[in-house]
Amino acid sequence: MRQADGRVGRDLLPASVLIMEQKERFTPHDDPDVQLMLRFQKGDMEAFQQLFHKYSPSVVNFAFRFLGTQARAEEIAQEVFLQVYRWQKRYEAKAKFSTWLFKIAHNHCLNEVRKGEYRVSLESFDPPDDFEGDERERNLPDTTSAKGEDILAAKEAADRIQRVLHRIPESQRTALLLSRLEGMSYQEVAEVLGSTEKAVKSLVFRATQSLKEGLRDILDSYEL
Amino acid sequence: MSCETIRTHLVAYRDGELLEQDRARVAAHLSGCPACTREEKQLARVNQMLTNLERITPSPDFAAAFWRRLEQEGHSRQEEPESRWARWWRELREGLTGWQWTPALAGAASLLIFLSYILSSHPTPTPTPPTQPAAHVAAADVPAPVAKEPGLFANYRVIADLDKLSHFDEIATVQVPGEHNTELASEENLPPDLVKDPSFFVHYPILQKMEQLENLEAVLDAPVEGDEHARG
Repeated sequence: MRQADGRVGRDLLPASVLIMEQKERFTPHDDPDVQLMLRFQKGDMEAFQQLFHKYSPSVVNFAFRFLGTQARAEEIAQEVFLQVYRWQKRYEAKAKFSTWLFKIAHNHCLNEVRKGEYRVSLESFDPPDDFEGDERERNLPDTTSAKGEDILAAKEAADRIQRVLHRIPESQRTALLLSRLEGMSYQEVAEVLGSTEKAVKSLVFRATQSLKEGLRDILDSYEL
Repeated sequence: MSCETIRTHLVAYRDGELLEQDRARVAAHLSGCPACTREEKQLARVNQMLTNLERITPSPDFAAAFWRRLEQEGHSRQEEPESRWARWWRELREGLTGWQWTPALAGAASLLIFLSYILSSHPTPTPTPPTQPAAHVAAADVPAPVAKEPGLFANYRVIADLDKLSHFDEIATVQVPGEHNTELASEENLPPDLVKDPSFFVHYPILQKMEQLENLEAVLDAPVEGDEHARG
């Protein structure tokens, strides 16, 4: 997991050491959520409830950032967990539970986008018609105070970010969201996308570049 | 490393995803390059803005709606035991990632072509007239060019033999004895391959359909339903 500024917490250690540690020592059965899923597979409904309560907010947020509307995001999250429920007997502990879960979530979001309802032209900078923007947009703050100005600036940045997220290719969007919002490593993102770490590195880089361009004037203002 | 190269590593550098050797190079470069340091700070700011995005809270009815839905759908759609074939196919799909499908499909296509070649190398006793396509093939699964010309499949074995016709151009230019020629053809002005195996002429009407070979590509390139979905 990363700290608030995006930097990995254990960066005093060489990255290669951390990566090798993760690859060599971790097995899916070490993941407590995998254990919960295996318990659920044996009929323990309480284990499924724990997984739902732990992960459903994350899946809703991922789908919200991916699709742009909370109502559809919640519907997608429900479908994801229904699929987990239905696939309980087929589940095999081959990876961390979260990567398996977000793989399902990613596929559901892609299906949703490919229905055409949320497709946004790459040339267009406008979000979909039913795009809700950031929740905080609805109640505009009092901008007469310095704090109000900060909040307004944060809203502007959040809105810009959401718009850029809708412009970039879906694979870049997923890689960035999972990496930043869920704190997944490149290896875990690669498992979700069925890709390679090298490809994920490129996806995250390009997505970040797009964000930087979309936020250029805001970033420049920080340097004044 | 140049500034351009360094900048492609900056995001992974901040994420702690570089190998130690690369990380040390980037760090050394940053210590002496104000422009890349500024770029690195901007990327850090972008990351910070992204990670600071307010997380939405699911609506109060979200969880209750899910358990209601589970009760309605979950009990009515108890999972059926997975068949052996379904399990094999699922494991294959799950085992192959998006970028692995391409070589897998290429391999399958190569195998198909190889098997076709092997089958076509067996001598055909007599040329058979075009037959109707197998009745069990659903019309929706057949590419349009094949649906229009079902005989193409029947001719495939002969068409596959075309590879062996190293002198096909010569065959085409041979003046066949007939109404336009007063001079009878002799063995001297026939290609040696044709002299050895005059049965090629039996296939001539079929060989004339070479123009339609473009349809063969259409058949091989026809998308398989669900393939796109499987690639994720």
